[in-house]
Amino acid sequence: MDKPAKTIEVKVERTIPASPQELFDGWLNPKVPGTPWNAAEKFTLEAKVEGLFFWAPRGTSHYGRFTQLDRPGLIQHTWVSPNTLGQESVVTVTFKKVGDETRMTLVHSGLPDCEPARGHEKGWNYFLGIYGEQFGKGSRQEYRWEEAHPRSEGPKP
Amino acid sequence: MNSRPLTLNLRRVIAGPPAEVYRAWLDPRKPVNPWSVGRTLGFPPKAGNLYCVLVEGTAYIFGRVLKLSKGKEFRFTWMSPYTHGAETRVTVRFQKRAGGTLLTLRHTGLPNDKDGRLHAQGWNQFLVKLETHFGQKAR
Repeated sequence: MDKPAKTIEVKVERTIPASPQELFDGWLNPKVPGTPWNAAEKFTLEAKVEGLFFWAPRGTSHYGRFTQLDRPGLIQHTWVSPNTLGQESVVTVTFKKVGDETRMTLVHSGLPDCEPARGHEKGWNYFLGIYGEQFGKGSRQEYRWEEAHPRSEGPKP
Repeated sequence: MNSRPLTLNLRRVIAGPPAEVYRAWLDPRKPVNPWSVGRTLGFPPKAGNLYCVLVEGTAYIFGRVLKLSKGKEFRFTWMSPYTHGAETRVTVRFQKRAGGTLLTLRHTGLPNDKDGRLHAQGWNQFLVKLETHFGQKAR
C-alpha cells in the first residue's frame, strides 16, 4: 500500500444562532439537513463511543467510528472512504457558546495529501452551510447533491 | 492499476464439521480469522450490522454484515487501505464434504494491483491456520 506520507487538515467554522445543545443534538439527527447522514440514501448510525456508522451517498461507501461524545461541546469520529484512500481520518466537531450564538468548528485531520482528500474542504463547507440554515432565521435549505458536487465525479466528503 | 476489479476464489477442505468450522471462522478469540488480529467492534455479527477491526487503536478493516446463514454461509463487505477505500464483498461458504468441510471464499471488487493481490496471501494465511487448528483437533 503506497500512501501519501504527508497528511492534511481541513477546518470549517460557522457561527450559528442556536445553543450548543441544539447543534450537538441536531448534528447526530439524520432528519436534519446539513448532516452527512441526511444526505445519504442508505445509512447506519450508532452515535455512542465505539459505535460505528456507514453511509453511502450515491453508492460511495463511507465508514467511521465514534471516539468521543461529550454533550454539548464535542463530537469526534473517524472517517474512511475512497476519498481518504481507505485511511482512517479523524473528524472533530466542537460547539462553543459565543453570546447568544454558537461557534461550530469542524476539523478533519489525518487526510492523505491527495486531490480526492482535498475535496473534503468544499464538501464540509457545503454541509455546514446547509446545517446553519436550519436554525434561527435560516432559509431551511435542503441538501442537494448537484449543489454539493457541481462538477465532481464522486462524493466528497 | 488495471481498471478491471480483481476477484479471488479460494477453497480448502477443513477437517471438521461445517457448524464447527463456521463457528471458528466467526470467533475473534480464535486466531484463525481476520477478526482475531486486533480488537473487533460489532461482533458477534448480525445481519445488517457493522463491524470494525482495530489494530493498535486504528481501524484496519470496516464492513457490513450482509448475510449470515448459520453453519452455511457468511457474506460481508470489506473496506481497508488495501482496497484503497473501495467497499469490496466477501462470501464464505461452508459445505459438508468427505473429510470435513469444503470452505470456499470469494472476494470481489478488489483493486487489480499489488494491494488487491495481497488479499490472496492474507486469506491463505488464515485458511492455513484454520486447517491446522482442526487438524490438531482431529489428532
